[in-house]
Amino acid sequence: MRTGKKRNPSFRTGVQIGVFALVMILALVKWLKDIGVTIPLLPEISLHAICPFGGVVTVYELLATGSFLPKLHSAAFILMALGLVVALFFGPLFCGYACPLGSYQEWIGKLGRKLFPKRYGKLIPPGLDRALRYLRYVVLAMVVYQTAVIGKLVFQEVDPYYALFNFMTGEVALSAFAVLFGVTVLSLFVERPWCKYFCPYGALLGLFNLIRIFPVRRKASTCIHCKKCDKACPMQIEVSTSGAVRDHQCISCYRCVSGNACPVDDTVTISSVKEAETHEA
Amino acid sequence: MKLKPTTTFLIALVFVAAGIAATIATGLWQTESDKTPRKLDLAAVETAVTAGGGTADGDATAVQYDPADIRGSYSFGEISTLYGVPLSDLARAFGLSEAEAGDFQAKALESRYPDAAEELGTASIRMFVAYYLGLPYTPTEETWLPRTAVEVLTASGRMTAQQAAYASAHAIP
Ligand code: SF4
Ligand code: SF4
Repeated sequence: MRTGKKRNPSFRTGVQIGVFALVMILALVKWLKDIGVTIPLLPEISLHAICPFGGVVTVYELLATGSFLPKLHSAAFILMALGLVVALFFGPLFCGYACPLGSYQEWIGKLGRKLFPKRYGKLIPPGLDRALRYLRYVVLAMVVYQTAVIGKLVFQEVDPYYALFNFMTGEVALSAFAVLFGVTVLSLFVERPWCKYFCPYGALLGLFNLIRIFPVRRKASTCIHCKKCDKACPMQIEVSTSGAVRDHQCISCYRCVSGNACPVDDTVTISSVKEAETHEA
Repeated sequence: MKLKPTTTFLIALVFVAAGIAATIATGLWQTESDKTPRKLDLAAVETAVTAGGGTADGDATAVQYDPADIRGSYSFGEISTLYGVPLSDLARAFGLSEAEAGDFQAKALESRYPDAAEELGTASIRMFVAYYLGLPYTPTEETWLPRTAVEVLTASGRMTAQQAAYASAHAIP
């Protein structure tokens, strides 16, 4: 049975806008507090305190000295742990739904698609693109190593997420602004370039795609090979030839599933191993 | 078992919210520093200081926090209480009045000296506190002090010869 429903992208867009707005409000409240303006009822929370990647880079410090890195607190560590459990079940759902930098790149990409329809998605040759997608693991290893050796948040110096939400504070390094600018320009031609090639947190969460309990699965028996799932995928994963999507780059955006891109009911689904075994061809 | 995208998201949301609520309820959730810096091993410090030619006049069983763990969010008042450096000396060292020094945050130091030839920031305060107390301190990057801070340090008389040389070579007029 075919279906023309397209409910979930708008639900997802709503979540993305909501999270982006929330992070922006928290950053503004913190900055206003720092310059002496208190906004009643709104909590004053530093973005470092609630960034789950901060939890990752402080693991070594916590084991070695029993304390968190400067600027980090238990909240970041707890969010990291909760995020990893979620990833074990559903993969990088954080990337697909919540990460404000991912959403930002997607929105810039929509603009790029309109401005440069011929160049969009074709800037980087496929061979290079495939190789570059492993670069983020190198970034992850470097960030964790450097942070452990130096004992402070080295990634902040180049972090585009920090630059995006703290541009008004005067605390952002020029290098972080340069990276944000580069990511913005690249996003006009490449879908989610930071996520694909550089993001250390996306790299860590992406590994859970290899073992996640609820992967995206395609039922070959009902697939009509229209490749709409492939076209919808922001990470250019070939869902149309997969049984279970175990690609390390999947961001659990669920654009490909039946009811979204896939026009056939119950063909691209999010299902656990047991269920899918009966479906896979 | 099959799930819809929305259900997947809602399950994750409820799980994360429950996790946050549980850690708030048990007091584990913190979004700001509890202002308890790392402690120093005082027995080891005394050995190091004596070997370095300094005067170790502390009580090896007392609690001494590590100046290297001073955070940008600490105010001078908090640094004074935690580390036992008189607020008047901190204020004089960094060109503040005693009245404003109490609430002055370490991370605001850089904007206090916008025209300084070298960067003055939280690292300068860490080094100042360590030298003031005669504790060993290895700067992670080249660190500078205002000349007034070096004068206060010299008057305190607890620096090793090596520290005194580093301080005077890194004084900014
Ligand atoms: S890969 Fe990184 S930047 Fe992209 S969505 Fe995930 S966490 Fe955000
Ligand atoms: S495979 Fe599906 S869920 Fe994964 S990134 Fe592509 S469209 Fe999103």
